[in-house]
Amino acid sequence: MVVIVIITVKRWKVKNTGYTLLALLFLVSLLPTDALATEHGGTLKLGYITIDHEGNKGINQSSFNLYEGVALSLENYTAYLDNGMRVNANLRNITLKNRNLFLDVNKPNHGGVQFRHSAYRRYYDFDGDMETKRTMTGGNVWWQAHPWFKVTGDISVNKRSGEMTQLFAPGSLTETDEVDFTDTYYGVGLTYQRNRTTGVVEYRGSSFKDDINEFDDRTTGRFRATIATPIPKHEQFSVIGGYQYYKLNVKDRNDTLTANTVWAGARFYRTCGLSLGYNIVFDRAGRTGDFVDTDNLTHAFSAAKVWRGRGGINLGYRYSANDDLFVKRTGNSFSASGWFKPIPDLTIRAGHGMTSMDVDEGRTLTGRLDRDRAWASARYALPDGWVRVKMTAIQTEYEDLETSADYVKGAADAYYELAKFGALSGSYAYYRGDYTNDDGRYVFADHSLSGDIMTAEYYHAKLGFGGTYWRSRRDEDIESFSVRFTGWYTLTNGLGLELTYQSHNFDNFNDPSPVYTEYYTDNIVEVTLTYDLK
Amino acid sequence: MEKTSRHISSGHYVRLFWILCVFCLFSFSSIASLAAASDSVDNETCMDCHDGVAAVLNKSAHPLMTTGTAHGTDILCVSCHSGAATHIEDPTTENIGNPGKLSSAMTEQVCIQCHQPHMGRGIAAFDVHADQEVSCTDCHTVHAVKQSAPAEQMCGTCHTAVATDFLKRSHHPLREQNISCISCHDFTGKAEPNFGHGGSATCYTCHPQQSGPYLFEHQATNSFTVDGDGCTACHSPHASANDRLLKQPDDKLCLQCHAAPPGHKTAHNGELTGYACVDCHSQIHGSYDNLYFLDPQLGSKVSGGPDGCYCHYYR
Repeated sequence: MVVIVIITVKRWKVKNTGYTLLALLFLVSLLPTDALATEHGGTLKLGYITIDHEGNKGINQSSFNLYEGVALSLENYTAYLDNGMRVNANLRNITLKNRNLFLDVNKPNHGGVQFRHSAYRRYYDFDGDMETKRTMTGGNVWWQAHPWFKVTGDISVNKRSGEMTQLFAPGSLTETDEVDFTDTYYGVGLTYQRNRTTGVVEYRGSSFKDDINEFDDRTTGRFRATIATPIPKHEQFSVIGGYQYYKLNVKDRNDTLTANTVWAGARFYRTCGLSLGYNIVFDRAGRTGDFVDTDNLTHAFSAAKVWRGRGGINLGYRYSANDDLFVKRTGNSFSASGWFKPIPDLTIRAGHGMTSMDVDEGRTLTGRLDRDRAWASARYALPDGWVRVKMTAIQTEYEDLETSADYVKGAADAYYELAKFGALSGSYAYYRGDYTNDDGRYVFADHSLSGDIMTAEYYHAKLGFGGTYWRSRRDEDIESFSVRFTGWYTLTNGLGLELTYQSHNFDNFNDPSPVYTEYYTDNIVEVTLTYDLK
Repeated sequence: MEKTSRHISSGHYVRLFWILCVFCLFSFSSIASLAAASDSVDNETCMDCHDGVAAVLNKSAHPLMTTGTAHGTDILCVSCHSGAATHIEDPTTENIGNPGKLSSAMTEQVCIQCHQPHMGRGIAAFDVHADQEVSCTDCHTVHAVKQSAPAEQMCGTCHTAVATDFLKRSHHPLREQNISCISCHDFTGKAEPNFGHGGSATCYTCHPQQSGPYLFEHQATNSFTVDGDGCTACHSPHASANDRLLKQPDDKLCLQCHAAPPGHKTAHNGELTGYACVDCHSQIHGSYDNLYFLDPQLGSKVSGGPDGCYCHYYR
């Protein structure tokens, strides 16, 4: 193992060393944690990942975000310090470019700081030579300044850079675009909370800066105030209200979007299981560019009755309207659903919802819309597991366009644990779509089958085996399957060895390109040494 | 030019007024008190019998806080468990309130005493979780120290079909842990499709370059207007069998709303009919340049120079 690590370190090129060093520094700082913490726990992992893959590398393939090399991780780490502070950390792949870091230090009811960083890439060509790198880095702080007031703040920086093909480009006319932009989000807020009354005032802003095309630079600002409280002496009633102002400004084009939104709601609960709710939202959105404001309005009512442990029914109605100078569109939605336990181990759920949107004045691109959704599920609890089936049917019809989509999906899954032997789980999902449009009609069917078996521990060893098969039949005729083997061996004093092998395969039997064949295959091996920190 | 708008008619407000009146009349006629959370029993009294609970709770998200010592809200046993006074006199499991055994609506009432932002969830829609009797305690572990499962595992235990969706070839990087369910699904009800700044705002957090506003908007994508359904008009947000999370493959997506205009399949003696709609209409999210969302460089791409191909320079 040590030999493998030494050999591979020579080939390993560290990039973004800043984050790597910070994460490593944190790991080192954990060394004296034993002295400070009353209790701490987590898993430290050191391993090596190797990938052998060829074919159509892309975001859709399983290795799009995997990198070869030495992987150092600290997972599910928590420490309780004597002074009441806590440290939570999940630092995955510290030493690789697809790192995913999360660190949280807090003292309950006093304050806390969180840090996040994740990075991944996206391939844009068959061989994987052209890619963009994407990173999201941010953090937030909170401080309980007073028993009634909490101050919050956060910032997030999303960066993307690299080379990509133009968003849409004919295969033979592919041109490369350079991408380099930074999108920064930030916010500050103040929360008031006393008894059951809460008020929140917050401001959020963002700044998009494109280093290639400054014409695209823009800023947004959003102010929001919300209050929620029970009605004094009638605590069964709760009310909520809020206001939001949003503005987007494109720097070089003097183009501005604004939206003013107000909302209010009331809820009523009885101990017998009856609840009622009503909400209203009114919104006016406008843009300097098109000289028209749009009003959006929604009313929603709901009523529910629950017979504890036996069943329940829910009814809902929603009215919505969108209205500008030229077009008025209104919609009505109804929903009804329920759940029922004929015996304690069996839960049956079912529901139906329908929406219709009418164009009352003027014309819209799509015209009248009707949408229906029905679903049902049943779950049976076994002594050491469960079995479940679920079915959903969605029908959408645009009457004026004479287009429709019928979509059905069904899924079944099960989990069972055999104490002496291990556990097994499996799922199957079926999707069927029937689309009709101006060009004709076509039907597709997808099948997805997945299963895993895990043995119990024998002589300090555990084994796992799983696989997924997926097939899509439509214009494209796609088959994809993968297998995975995992083995664990517990050494001593919290040390363990983990070995994983995965293989993925993808084929499009109806290739759209005359130039190349869409296929992909990979073999991924990971060897990891684990250490339980306790 | 002066901006214009036509307001929602006053008839709606009259209707709303009467609905509110009926609602209030019904509600006030059947008032019943909630489980009282104001029992004056301190934590130490509870620990006389439940002595192991404090150690567990103090490592959970709800460490017990005795009155007067905390900066924030005091967390007492009786904050969540009602009926403590009676329970002390006659300690049985029947006479102490247990939020985990209440209906989802009642459990929610206990939790939102402190977690008020969640009261706003489903601002204008229905609270789908509460409706299905899925309460706060079905996902959140209140007492135990154990770390909650990642959202993608937690949500997938009920949303089976959605979880299997992510096995599809084109998917958001959930399995890869670059995002999680709560990256997009905000249970405090902040994103509402009917807002002017609605559901698409969620997408723009990571995809700002498609957010516009554009000089020429593709109405379907523009959630600021009457017509627009936002990003999900064309994209399946979880996963799709088609590239780029598209709901339907290739031109079939466009043809769901548009007829193929005459001439498109016969131009150039039919030589270029093999191209997809977006090969030419590449600025499909919106354009600063062209009413038909044509590629600004289409002339040079197709014929080697902008002057050589007037049709493809149509504005």
